[in-house]
Amino acid sequence: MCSMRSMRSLGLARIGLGALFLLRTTALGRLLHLPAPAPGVPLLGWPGEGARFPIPGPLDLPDAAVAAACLVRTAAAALFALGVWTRPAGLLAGALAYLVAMQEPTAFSMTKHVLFLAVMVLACTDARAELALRPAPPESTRSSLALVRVWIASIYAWAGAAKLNRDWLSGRVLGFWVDEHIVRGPLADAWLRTAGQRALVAPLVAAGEIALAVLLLVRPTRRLGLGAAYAMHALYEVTMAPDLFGWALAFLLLTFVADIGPWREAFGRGTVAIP
Amino acid sequence: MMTARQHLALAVLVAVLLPVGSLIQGSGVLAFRMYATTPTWHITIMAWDAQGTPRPVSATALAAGVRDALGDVLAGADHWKYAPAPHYFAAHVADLARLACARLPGISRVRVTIDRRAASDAPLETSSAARPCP
Repeated sequence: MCSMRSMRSLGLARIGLGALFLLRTTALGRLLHLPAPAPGVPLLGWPGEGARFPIPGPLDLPDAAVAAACLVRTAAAALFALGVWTRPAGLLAGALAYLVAMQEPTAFSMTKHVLFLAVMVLACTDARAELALRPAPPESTRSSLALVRVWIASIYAWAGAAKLNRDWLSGRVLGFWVDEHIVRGPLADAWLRTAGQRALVAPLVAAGEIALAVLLLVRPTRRLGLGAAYAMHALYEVTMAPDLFGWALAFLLLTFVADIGPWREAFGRGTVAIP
Repeated sequence: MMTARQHLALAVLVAVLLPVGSLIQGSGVLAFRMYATTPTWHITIMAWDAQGTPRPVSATALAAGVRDALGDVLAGADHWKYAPAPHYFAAHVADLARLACARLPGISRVRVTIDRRAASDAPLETSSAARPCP
């Protein structure tokens, strides 16, 4: 038997990611003043005059195929969020989202990558067993949570590791983002005004992201890591508002709420009970 | 039916293999490198008219007829600027030359050169393509 709390966190993550996916890939997001397809474009990647990238992508499709992919992607994402045929719907939504995104490679972003991959990853978990219109029987809740946790921790680890370069650690990159007003607001004005401040903050950001990965994965520090992760994303929202990235992670971090026991048992055989 | 072992394999795929593969491929686009560097690029376009007279064309002029993502990226690239996907463009420099042929009237030949740096202190990498324009 699986813990209801664990299952519920997966179900909530599925609904949240499904909703964010739909907001980011349809005109709905524009209505809510969120990052969304450009005005006049109903669905992200929709073909139209000037909307397609005129340089052939790695897997260039005709306009009709792209339009069909956009429509099916949206329907599949809605089914995923509602919990109807969740696994095939999530896998299809994610795969088609990548296919459409490949038509405009320069418009691809980490937020889209996280949204698309999250939907596919969650479709492979017991996220389909809870808070779903057509719930599927749970298969392995502990390893479902472990899978999502490993992936989320890896995002922080990769992000932090990528910043271990001279340009970032010197504060120059941070200065560039401040100059471009990508990083902005009163906190940025106070903490990142001078080159000296930026040289101090930049290594802390890199170290903080790597530390988060460790804190989240180590059982005794999981809750501390969870609090720190939410605090970090709140700070990023105030200073950068990086698309819907923080919101996506906020939903995915719900999978860290329940205890899944020791890691050596997390990917054990069969459906495992969670205390 | 997904087993715990399959979840483990999937975890290795999404947490390790995809990012590493993306880094090996060169773009790093799946490796969560957001905001870690500021890759920059610079485009030089030289066009020849029917008499063989060369003239420089600015990337901004090429961007004028192109909307959305490509237009945003090309605009201002006659000076060093931040490039969201320099690796992709370097791989498609021949396509940019083809685009220049299509967008610039009255030219018989074009050469596009992309200079890029992965970071401010990284070595300069150059890609170039030339083609006749029909």
